[in-house]
Amino acid sequence: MRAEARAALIALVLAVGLVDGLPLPSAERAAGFAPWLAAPAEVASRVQAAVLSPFGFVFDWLRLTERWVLFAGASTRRFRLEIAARGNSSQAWQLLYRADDERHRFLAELIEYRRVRGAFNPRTQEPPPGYDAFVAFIARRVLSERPELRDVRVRMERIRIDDAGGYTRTGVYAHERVKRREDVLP
Amino acid sequence: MNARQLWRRWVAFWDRREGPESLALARILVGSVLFFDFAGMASGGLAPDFWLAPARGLGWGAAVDQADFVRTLGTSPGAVTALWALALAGSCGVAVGLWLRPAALACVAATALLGRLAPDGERAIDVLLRIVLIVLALSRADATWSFASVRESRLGRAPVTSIPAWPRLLLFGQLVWVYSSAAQNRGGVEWWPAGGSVALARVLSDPHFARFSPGWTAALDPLPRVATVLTMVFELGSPLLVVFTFAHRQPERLGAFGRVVRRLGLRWVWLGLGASLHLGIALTMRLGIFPYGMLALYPLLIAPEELRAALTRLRRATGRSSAAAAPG
Repeated sequence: MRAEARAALIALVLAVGLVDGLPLPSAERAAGFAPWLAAPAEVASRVQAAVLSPFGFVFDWLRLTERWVLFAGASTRRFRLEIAARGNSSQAWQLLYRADDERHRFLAELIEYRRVRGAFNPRTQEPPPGYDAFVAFIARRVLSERPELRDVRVRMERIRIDDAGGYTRTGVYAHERVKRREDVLP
Repeated sequence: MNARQLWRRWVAFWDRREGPESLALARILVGSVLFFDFAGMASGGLAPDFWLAPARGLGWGAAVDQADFVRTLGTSPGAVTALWALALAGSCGVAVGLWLRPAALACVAATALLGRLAPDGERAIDVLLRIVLIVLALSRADATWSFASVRESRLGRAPVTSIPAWPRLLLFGQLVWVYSSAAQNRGGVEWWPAGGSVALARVLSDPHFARFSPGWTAALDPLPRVATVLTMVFELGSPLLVVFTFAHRQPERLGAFGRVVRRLGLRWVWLGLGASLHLGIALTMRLGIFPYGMLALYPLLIAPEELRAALTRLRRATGRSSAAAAPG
């Protein structure tokens, strides 16, 4: 490739990447701004979308972005995953796995693998889009390995992280799902 | 300087050539990190099931994908296995430098499709390494320390000592942008002094990420706060690495500032801070390949001649120690 053509192509890639990476607020976040700030934010987002539209297919198909969000927020209101199971509806739930619990580590290696964690770890107060898929997936794995069990319950305990470190349990649970054997196994 | 001169300098900058060592080392490390990640999934019983439709896997994305063939892929164990195998073989090819271009592009295509099937399974490091693979595919990163270079040598061809520098320079800029963008997107006040710089203490106490039982950071206070401040300084100041690198190589062009940067070794301080940050993450958090994938890119921040010089020093040092250890 000729040096000029390559330099031009690199300039285009850098320009598109920088526009994509602009830290513009999302529409929902901008809606919460004061009007004098919300309007420019909205215009900037529209301009960004217009500039990127010819290149959208590249970002979409190759699943690329130049906006890097790494631990954007470190909220005090977090969660602790808990997985329990039982043999039938009259039995008590038997705790199999709980995050940060050395006594309950069933399938821990699998659950704590980074790609699997992405499917259950809430980034906000809501679970990720794949949470129900995770529940079905983990229920199937549990019931495949423990044929005596029939139901699997997945839920998140709300915890409050202390500023100095450590956390306080609340005993309040969210995002509870229950799967039966017939739901996940043929 | 007018626009024409500026353009000429821009073209000349991207037309530079250099030794192949830095890119080759990054290629080996990036390929290895990806290979062990995909191979580890198989040994952990996750490949290829992970990308299959629920409940067998976490591939919920296939059912809602707009492309027909992606929807079909998600329900076919054979196709998902083939994609995983392609990613594995591609990353291996990249690591050993065999058929680099097709290997890297196969890995890009396979990982992008797998990411569509199970969108929650993709983290920022997967996206970053995909970008790196695209650039590596267009580079001569296989010119040394590779099967390709061994093959060339056996055919009696002279070793390649100079390759286009633009892939390394572009990836250098990419890494700087990753850090800078991460800081720009830190909306939480806990990352800033106004919020007490408590972010790292909180992250290290999150039971989904913490490697050690949460609470250990309390005993170290205020060290986690200092680490939070250093992280933000490092990320916000990442564009300074470009200035430090320039000043390190050509101190006379930047006058007194250049001399101070070189004398204080600020470039190495910055690189050491970055490496410590990632080693700290690897030690205290369970983030999978993230710290290793980031560190795999650090050779790109070092010029090939510096890498060669370091290797020569290392060889001399190991040569001396083995000579000293030899009897008689």
